[in-house]
Amino acid sequence: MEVVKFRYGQHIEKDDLTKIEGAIARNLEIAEELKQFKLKNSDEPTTIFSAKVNS
Amino acid sequence: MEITSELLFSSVRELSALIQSQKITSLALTESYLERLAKFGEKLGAVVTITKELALKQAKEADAEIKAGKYRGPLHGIPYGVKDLLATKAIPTTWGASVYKDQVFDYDATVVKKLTEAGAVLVAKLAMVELAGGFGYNSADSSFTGPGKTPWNTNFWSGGSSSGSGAAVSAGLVAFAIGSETSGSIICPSSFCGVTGLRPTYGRVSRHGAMALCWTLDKLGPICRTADDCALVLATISGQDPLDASSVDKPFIYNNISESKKRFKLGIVKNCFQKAQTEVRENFTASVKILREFADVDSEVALPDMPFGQVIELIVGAEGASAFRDLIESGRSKELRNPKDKWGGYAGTAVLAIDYLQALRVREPMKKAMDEVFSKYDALISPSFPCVSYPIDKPFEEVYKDIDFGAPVISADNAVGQPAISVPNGFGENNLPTGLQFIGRVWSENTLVDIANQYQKLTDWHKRRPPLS
Repeated sequence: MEVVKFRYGQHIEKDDLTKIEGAIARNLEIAEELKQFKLKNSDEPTTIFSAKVNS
Repeated sequence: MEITSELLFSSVRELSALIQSQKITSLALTESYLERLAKFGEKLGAVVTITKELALKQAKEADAEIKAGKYRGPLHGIPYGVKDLLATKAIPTTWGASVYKDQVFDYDATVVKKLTEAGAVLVAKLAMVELAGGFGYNSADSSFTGPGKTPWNTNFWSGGSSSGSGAAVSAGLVAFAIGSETSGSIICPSSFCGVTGLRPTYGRVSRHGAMALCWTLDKLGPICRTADDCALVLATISGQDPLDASSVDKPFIYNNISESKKRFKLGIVKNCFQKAQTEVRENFTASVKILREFADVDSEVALPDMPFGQVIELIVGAEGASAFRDLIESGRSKELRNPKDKWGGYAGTAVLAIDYLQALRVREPMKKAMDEVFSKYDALISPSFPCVSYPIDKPFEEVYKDIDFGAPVISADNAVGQPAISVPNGFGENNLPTGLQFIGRVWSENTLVDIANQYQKLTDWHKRRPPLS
């Protein structure tokens, strides 16, 4: 939350801070749940990267 | 042949036959849709820009070519609309948000380009939930054009985020439309508007020129009156594109086995309808009875017990915040329409890289587990949505409190990139449509269309017209 305040505090309405804090807490809960999913070292993220330069 | 309002509700295939045989002209058809767009588009909150000048030009060109014997195919001369997140050269592309209302690109999205090459006629840029809902909107009033309304009852929402695409097809304002789905945005409006929508396999259709919300989840697909029409459109817009690294060299070639004799094997997703609204349950049960006429239907097929919804939530938060970082940093997200969207982007900026990567890594084992279940069936089925549409004047969480989504069908399919098609299957409270969806393995769109075609041959829900005046 401090990072969000530091970066964007000037744009955020005071009333919205609690809501954002709640949403961040929810993301942390989700992250904890996903952490329970056991992965192997070789399980790669599903990103797409290609070294080919597209015009 | 006279262009009656009845004719404007014809399928693409029917219109196409009339145009090819020159019983009607594309120009006359286009003018009629333009007239209807002007009459109902704003009333339904379905339209952002009517592209009259371009449409008339394209229609005249189509007629001239057809007259000269240069028929391009089933979309030649057919008027359509696109969700206003697809770039169109020299025409505003607003992404549904006032912040971007003056945004104009100098190129066409690949999908628009392909439709132009097929001779289709762009008549409108259609309304959508601002930023395709990436900041977490929680009510229908979430577009700078106002809430999208379902033509079946204008006190209720047309669904999101492809709100205008669903409503415009349903109301006969266009012959077909293009929508997009990150997680539910084609299936939901198709269900709420009583039309047929196809969410293709991730990578089937190029997203070049489409607003990015989530690079690893976004898909573009058709919303039409019939499954057959969806296939005609998908066959035109699919294919690999060097400008979209996620697009795959698997163009959709429509089998169109109109007299399919195959007996399909379907499965009902476990816990997908038991806690849905009464009419949704009843309509689903009635649909299953019809499906049993040409398919064996297993009940209780459990999806893998995996955190699909959580994966989607975290990825949409993180990728959405990244895609709209400029907007967030400018402080202008407070200009968005929906109260939740004004602050919803900030939480995504605080997702840790390690958590985002975990969500992406989990998707690979998810794909395998889902495919193992789906490999035993031609398709799994469930209601498209557990309820009818939401009222336009209330937050979603304040209505239908007793219904439960049950199995996370939409998030599971989207997390692993599987295709689905939603067809109308009846009506529920307040004369609002309900939907039935068929979900299949990746690249199984032909099978899904085939099943949906068979279902639509035995039913007439897709032929019903909303009571607009």
